[in-house]
Order: sequence, then C-alpha cells, then structure tokens
Amino acid sequence: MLKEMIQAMVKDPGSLLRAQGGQLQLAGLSDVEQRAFVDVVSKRESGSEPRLFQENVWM
Amino acid sequence: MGHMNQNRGDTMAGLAERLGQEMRESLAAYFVLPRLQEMAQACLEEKLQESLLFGKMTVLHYRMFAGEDERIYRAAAAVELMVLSLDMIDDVQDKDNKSVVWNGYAPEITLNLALGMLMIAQRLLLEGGFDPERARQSARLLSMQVLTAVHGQTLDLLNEIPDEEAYLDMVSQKSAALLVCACMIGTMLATGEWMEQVRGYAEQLGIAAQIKNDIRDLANWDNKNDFLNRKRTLPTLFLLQAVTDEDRWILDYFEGRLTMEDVLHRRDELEAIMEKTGTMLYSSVRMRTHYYRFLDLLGELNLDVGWQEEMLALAE
Repeated sequence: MLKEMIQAMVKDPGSLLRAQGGQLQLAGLSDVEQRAFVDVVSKRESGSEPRLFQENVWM
Repeated sequence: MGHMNQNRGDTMAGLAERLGQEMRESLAAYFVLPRLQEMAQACLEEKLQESLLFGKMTVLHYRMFAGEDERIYRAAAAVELMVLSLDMIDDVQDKDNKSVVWNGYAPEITLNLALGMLMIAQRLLLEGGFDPERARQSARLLSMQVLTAVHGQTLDLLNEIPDEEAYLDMVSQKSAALLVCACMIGTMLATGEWMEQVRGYAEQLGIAAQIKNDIRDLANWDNKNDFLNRKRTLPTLFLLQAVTDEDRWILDYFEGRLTMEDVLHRRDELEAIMEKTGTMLYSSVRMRTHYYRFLDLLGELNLDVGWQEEMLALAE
C-alpha cells in the first residue's frame, strides 16, 4: 500500500505538499507507517534522518 | 516490568576503553605466534577507532536487567571480536578496497585472522567466569546467530533477491541477527532467559540500520554503489519496478545489456530518476518505519527512562 501510494504521489506533486501539511488521508497505511511517512515528508528538506549505526558489519 | 539498577553513569563511563583493554588482553592470551599476534592487534587497533556499538549494547542490556558482574566486559569483548571477524571476512568477500589494516594483508591471512578471532570470541564466553549454564547459553547464542548471519550473507552474495520480502528476510539474517546477538547475550547473562521482546526490537533496529546503509550505498557514486554493482536491495528493487520505458537504460544495465562504462557518466540522471520515481522517499519511509517499530517495542518493556535514553543514544 505504501509503495503504491508513493508512486501515485510522485506523479501528483500537490499531494506531497498536502501530505506535508497533514491534509492528506493516509488510509491503508499502518499507524507506524503513517508516522514514518509524515515525519519523512516533513523532514526531507532538513535532512534530519536518524543517523543510526555507522558500523559496516556485513552491511 | 521495571528494572532497578541505577548505576548507569558509573557503568557506561569509560566503556570503550574497558572493551579495548579486554580485547587486547584476549588476543595476547590466545594468539601465541608473534606475527599472528602482531597482525591481530593491528586489526584490533583499527576496530577500536569505531564506536563499538555492539559491545556497548551487550553491556547496556546486561546492566538494564540488573546484572552487576564486571566480567560482562569480557563477554562484550567477545561480541566485538565476533563483529570484527565478520567485518574482515565481509571485506574479503566484497573485495572491498577501503583503507583498513586487514585489506592490506593477503586475503588468506585476513581469513585466518578472522577465523582465530571468532574462536577466541567463543572461548571468552565459555571461560569468562559466568555461571556455567549462562556461559553455555551465551556461547550457544553466539554460534547460532553467526550461523544465521552466514545464511543471510549467502543470500546477499548470491544476489538472488526477487522481491522486498526476500530482501527483508536476507537482512534479518545477515545484519539484524548480529545486533540480536549483542543484545541477547547481555540479556541472557543477566537473566538466564531468552527475552522475545528484546529480540524483536533488536531485529527492527538492525533492519532499519541496514536500509539506511543501502540508501547510502545508492546515493554515493563510488565502487560501493549498489546500482553500479547491480545489488538487489530495497531501494534498487523499488527503482527497478518504478522506472518507465523512457528510463529503460536502468533496467538494461541491471540486467546486463549495458556495461558500467555505458552508465558511469549518468549519475545525475539516475539521481533525478530516483527522485521522480519516489525511490529515496519510499526507502526513507521504510527505514523510519522499522526504526519506529523498534521504539514502540522498546517502549513496551517499560524500562527506567534512563535506560531508554541510553539505548536511544546508542541507536541514534
């Protein structure tokens, strides 16, 4: 569902803006996916993803 | 569930130094041949420039669950030696040319060193002074998780990842299993029990970290770039099914109909396509989804706030 939603959104830039403003229905996504999506869309410009590990073990 | 060990500050301070000391002493004790010792210690000094996050996770989990024995540092050193050994083996397998000490040795030497370190890790757990049953459990867990990682690494090396589900399965085995190992060894040495909640959140955090690495390995246009290496990862799998006929060259390259020389100059074009297809957006959301699952599962343990903060500091 998330994949399809993003593929549809990138074809409609206005929908990304609406998502950023919390105006888009994210039906079909789980709660955690919704949280992740909203956070990523709103923080994309600032580039503030969690740094997570820097380890390269078998990665 | 609440945990009453309040000695967080004393426990975590100087941890890297303590781990380093344990690791140096273990190599000195078990690698008798001078040249072997010398090369192993050189590899270790390289490793000690890193964050030692796995060993720190072992200690953190031990203390979180009220463990008080100072010998946990030896167990954490075992975890880090295991991680180092697999790191070295991975670099040989990937023919990675990053400038680390072990990449300057002949591959057969590096593999031999790694094999020895892995065995030392087992001995440290078995002979580290913990209750025999818990020592046995922790050593068993180490070998079990390394074996899982071997399976995952096999899938990765074969690069036969048909879809996202297979990718997540591979990542769970290849990468997340080692983080599960680190967290669970600390947990089991403290409690004598397997805690499924710990396994659960450690796995989610490991998956998130791997997706993060895979995003990076698509964004960096160097010899590790996953597109150039035709690696099937979550971002590249999304890209491949999202490209239009107009950008068919991407599929053509991935399927071998174009050479690297045909595409090396098309970096900007690829980046634009990744943006317009939503590849990076999708990958970032997936990474963060797994990270939030980690946070939610961690929250369910109802740990003391201080321990949660320690955990988040390591994870961030």
